[in-house]
Amino acid sequence: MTGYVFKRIFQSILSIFIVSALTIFLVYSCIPRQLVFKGDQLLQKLANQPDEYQDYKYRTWEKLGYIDYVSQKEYAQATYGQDSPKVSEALLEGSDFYGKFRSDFQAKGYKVEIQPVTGFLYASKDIPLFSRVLKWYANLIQVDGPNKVHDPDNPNMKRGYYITRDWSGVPALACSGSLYKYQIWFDGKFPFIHSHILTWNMGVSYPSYDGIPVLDVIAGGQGRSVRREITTKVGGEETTFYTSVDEHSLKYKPVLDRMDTNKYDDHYADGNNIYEDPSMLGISFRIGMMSLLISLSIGLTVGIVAAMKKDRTFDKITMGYTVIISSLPSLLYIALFARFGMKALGLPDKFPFLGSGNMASYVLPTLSLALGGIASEALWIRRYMVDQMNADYVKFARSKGLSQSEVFFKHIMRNALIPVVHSIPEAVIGTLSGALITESFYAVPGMGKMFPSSISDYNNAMIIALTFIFTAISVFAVFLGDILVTFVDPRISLQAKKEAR
Amino acid sequence: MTEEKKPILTVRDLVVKFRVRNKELTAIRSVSLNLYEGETLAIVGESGSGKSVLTKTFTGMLENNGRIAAGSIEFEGRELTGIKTDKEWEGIRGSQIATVFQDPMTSLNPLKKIGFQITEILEKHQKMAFAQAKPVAIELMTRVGIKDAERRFNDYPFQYSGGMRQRIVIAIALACKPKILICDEPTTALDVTIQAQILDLIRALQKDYGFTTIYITHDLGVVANVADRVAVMYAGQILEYGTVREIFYDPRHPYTWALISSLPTLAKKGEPLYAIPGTPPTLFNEIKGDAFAPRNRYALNIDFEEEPPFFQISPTHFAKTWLLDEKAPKADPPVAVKIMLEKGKIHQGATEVAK
Repeated sequence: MTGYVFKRIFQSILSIFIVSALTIFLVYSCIPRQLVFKGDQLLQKLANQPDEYQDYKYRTWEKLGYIDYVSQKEYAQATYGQDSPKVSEALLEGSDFYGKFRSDFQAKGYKVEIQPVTGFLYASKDIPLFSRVLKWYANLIQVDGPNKVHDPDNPNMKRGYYITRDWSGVPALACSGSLYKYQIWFDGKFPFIHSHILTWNMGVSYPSYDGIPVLDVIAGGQGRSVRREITTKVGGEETTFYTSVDEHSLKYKPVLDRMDTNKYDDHYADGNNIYEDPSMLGISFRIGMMSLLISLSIGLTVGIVAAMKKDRTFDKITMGYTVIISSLPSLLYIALFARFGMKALGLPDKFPFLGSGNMASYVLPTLSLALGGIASEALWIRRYMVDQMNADYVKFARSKGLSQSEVFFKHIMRNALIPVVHSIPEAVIGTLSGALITESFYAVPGMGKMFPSSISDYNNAMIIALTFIFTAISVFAVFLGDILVTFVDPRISLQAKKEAR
Repeated sequence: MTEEKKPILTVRDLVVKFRVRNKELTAIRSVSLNLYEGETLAIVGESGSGKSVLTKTFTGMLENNGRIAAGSIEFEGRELTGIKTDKEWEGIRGSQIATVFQDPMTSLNPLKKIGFQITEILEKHQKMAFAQAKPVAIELMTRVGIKDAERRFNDYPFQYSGGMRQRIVIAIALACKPKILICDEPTTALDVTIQAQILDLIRALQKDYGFTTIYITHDLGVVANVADRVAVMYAGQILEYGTVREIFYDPRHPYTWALISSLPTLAKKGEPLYAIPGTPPTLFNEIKGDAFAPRNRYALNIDFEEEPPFFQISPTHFAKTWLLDEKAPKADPPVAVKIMLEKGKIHQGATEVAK
């Protein structure tokens, strides 16, 4: 079993790698790089300032990993030092620095060009496709530790781990010299123990959600930030202040302002806010899970009863329902259902009316999603049941003198549930990817829209990250399903095949 | 066969009809049959002749679209055709009349332990608790030849071979000591060596438990091995029945002749194997005269006009063919049958000498 599990994990990781590598490859090779600016407002404002326009474009490409880009000023600063007077000299017309810049970068294979207005030089070089792909993986997992941050302005920073208490007084492992202050901490949110020692990094979102790490976009809170009163010791004195910062996300901040020094003892003053609404992932998961539970409980019951009463009225009604639901465009029945919910039950037909804090907001989206879920669960379980009902062992069980219901509950049902069990992990984890039509109809700020909108926005980092995440969760969901089935089906045991001799 | 045997099951003029695609199909066309206590009756016939359907009526296992249109089935003084509810059938199925089906590979629930599938029936019919039923089940498993039954009690069907599964099926069928065991082609899905073992097992168990057996088969080899009496079925009717000796060594119906002629063991080297020409009639339409007549080279004109009655040949041997009528011309049976007749005479002579 363990051998098999390791083999499967290895295969899963390999397949995730292949899929995501292909995606990165395609994103960087097939999408013209000019298109990434399609949604960028700032660039359009620079349209009549050719130099800035060029500089902004190249800097963005550099940020996105397309090219290496060096301007003449940057090179001068790098050569003579940040504040050296020679830097401005090097930019003067007729300076021999022009020649040096040109020859140095041409020697390194860069393309050297001249800015249209100022006439300054700049050099750029394409990063090869392969190293772009590899870079993505190289940055995927970030390791934090006491030797992570090196700040020239703060050379004598203490380095090392220590035990502290967070703002709510819960003990936590903190670190100095690392990127994040809190390395291991506990709170009431799943999975209760959190860590910054290893963090995922899937790049920074651009042009939509510009500048926010991709994972914060989908997993960070949304809506208004929550301010709360905090009392903590700063410089040995009890201090009380209002803040919306989540202390666990505090990061090293090189330059502190007065506000920071009033609140923090150390350089860890750069944190994310706490928001009112759950993340996109969180909202999609909530709605998805609730509708999955409804679909499973109602759909399975209805399907099983329909199978027991095959060809009778109840069965015909059930089948009629599934046929209607699966043949109608989902938008149509969702719209009808929303209208009914609003008129008859007085429920909000748009999520933001009452917001994520009010249970009523979830009712219609959840039920709309469950309409389809019930239909498909009922259809499949009925199909599996009818399949089993015609099996020889059922005939034999009946000839043993077992009653119809004994045959049903002791023999048919469990056998029919096996394929359903197999699909449950997939369904559960699948909720994370959101439901496009339902969510957009009810204006739910969930995951559903992310993938299509990131494609239309040319948000490369988001496309790659989502592909990676969705691939990973579906591959592991199938794996989990296979493991789960071994508990209900004795015929299946997970074993790595022995090498054939 | 002079001693008077007590019939345990009596079928009178049974007619079974099925509703198929809005058409009525008559699968059993007026069958009468006596089953005597302790005997082994083999019902032979080709596929679709109604052998399985006939025995399904004994346990109320007809498919939903089938019904008994006429006739009676009496089991130990009880009229079975009157049973309407499954509840009543549950008292007969398994405990009084048990069935062993053709394919042992699919007769057992693949997801339930062997032990459970045996104890289940004991718990149901004998009202035993699991703890009581377990030793009984292990005893049964040992009896049907499962070695190390204690350990194999907790195995699943997939851990058993086909032959062993059929042994388990037999153990389940016999768990409640039924009066009648219906074996619906019990060895068809097994290879020849296992077939013999299973047949021997059933025979041995029959001796111990004293049940009555009905074999449904199209394998005449099996029939010759196990049966006391044979009924030959064709197109929903019994055409001839008698003791196994009478059917094999003195068959009278042309269909039985044809069956015996197609036995591979009687074929001559170099000659093509005999096959009955044509196909059985469709049961959707009413059949006029003798159902076998269109395929019968001995058919008389009357065979197409009027259904023959049963003619008695001996106290135990009856055949439904006009050839036995006084007015019929004498038919010359096929070569294979003549061989059998000769063999029969030798046997008879031998037994008479022995007497």
